[in-house]
Parts: sequence; structure tokens; C-alpha cells
Amino acid sequence: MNRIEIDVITGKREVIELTAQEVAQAQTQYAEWLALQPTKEEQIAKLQAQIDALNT
Amino acid sequence: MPLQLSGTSGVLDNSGAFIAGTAVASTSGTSIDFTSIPSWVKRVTVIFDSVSTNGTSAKIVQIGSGSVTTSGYLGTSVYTGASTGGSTYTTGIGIADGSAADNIMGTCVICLLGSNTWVASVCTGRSSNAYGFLGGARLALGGTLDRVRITTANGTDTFDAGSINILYE
Repeated sequence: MNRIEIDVITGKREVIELTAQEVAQAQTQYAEWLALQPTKEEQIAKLQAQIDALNT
Repeated sequence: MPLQLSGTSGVLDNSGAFIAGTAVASTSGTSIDFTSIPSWVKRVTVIFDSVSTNGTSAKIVQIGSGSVTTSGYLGTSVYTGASTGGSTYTTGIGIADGSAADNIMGTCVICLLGSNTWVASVCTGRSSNAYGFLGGARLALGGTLDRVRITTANGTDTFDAGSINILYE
């Protein structure tokens, strides 16, 4: 995995291989984001409420 | 427009002028960083043209000072279309979620409130179906903003289509 880095002043473009630490940080970041997401049941309940609202 | 030039440091201040970067093909990499953003910048607009990744993780924008900040954001992005919903984001500014087939178009405008606190607004849409995304976020940086990263929430999905650019002013 790599990232693309562009210097806006010089226009220099570099492709940089991610370090193991950066990959681990990304995984931690993703776990944090996932923990904030609604569960499948919560999403179904929300959609059902929207359907019910359309039917009233 | 107080243009200030330095023989050694280049443009020291160019407040009021729009400066466009060079559009980058978002066809590879897990993230795209725009670095060396000048210290006088007070607004950065990230422009997405048909941007896609190979996974389903939400696309996000992160900012930084010296290094990219990956936590501490406050904000939400919502989608609206055939159904509605949304997500809160703490690891970046939410741009869009969706499937690998989605191509995203739109902008993320990041403005300096003051004291290195930046506030963003998001307006994007998909090409593959009738969904749009709206959002807002804020982050207090530890120093002057000098970089913007476009990536995904999981940090491992790879860009596979489109192009991205920034305007700064």
C-alpha cells in the first residue's frame, strides 16, 4: 500500500510506501470509526420509520 | 491583496488570490496528500471529480500541521436520496460513503475560523445513483495548516478512478 504526496509549491509528486506503523494506525482509525456507526438493526429500524412515515 | 514575496521563501502572503494546484489522478494509492500549503492560506477547497475506490469504506478528508491529524474531528455527514441516513466522523471530514462502484463529485471547503481552528462543509453526489451527501466538521490543529489528505475511513481502500485537486486562498 502506498500514498501519493503532492507538494503544492513545487508540484513534485512522490509515491510513498506505507510503513507498518501507518497501516496499524489506519486500522486503529477504522476501528474508531466503525464503533460510531449504527448497527444493522438500528439502520433497519430507521428505514422502517421512514417507510411508516410515507404510509401515514 | 497583500502580495508579499521573499527571495528565499517565495510567496509569503497572497491573501485574496485563488491558487489552484495540479489535478491528480486518483487512480492509485490509499491516500493522496497535498503538502506545503502556505501559512497564509485561510480557505482550502478540495475538488472531487468522479473519484472512486475499490472498497466500501467512507471517503474522508484529513488536515494537518507538520503531520496529518487522524483524530479529534467533530462532525457529521448525511446522505439523502432514495433513503436518508448519516454518520458521525472523528477521524476526518466525511465526504461520502457507498459502494466500490460509486463515483463521487463535489467539494469540501475548509475555512480557518481562527487560532488554527478549521471548519469544513461538504457537498458531494454520486454518479451511479441519486444520492447526495452534505456535511460539516471542525478540528483545532496544533499549528498552522500545511497539508490536506484525502483517504478512506479504513485507510486501506485504494483509489481507482477520477481526479482530485485543491484550490487555496
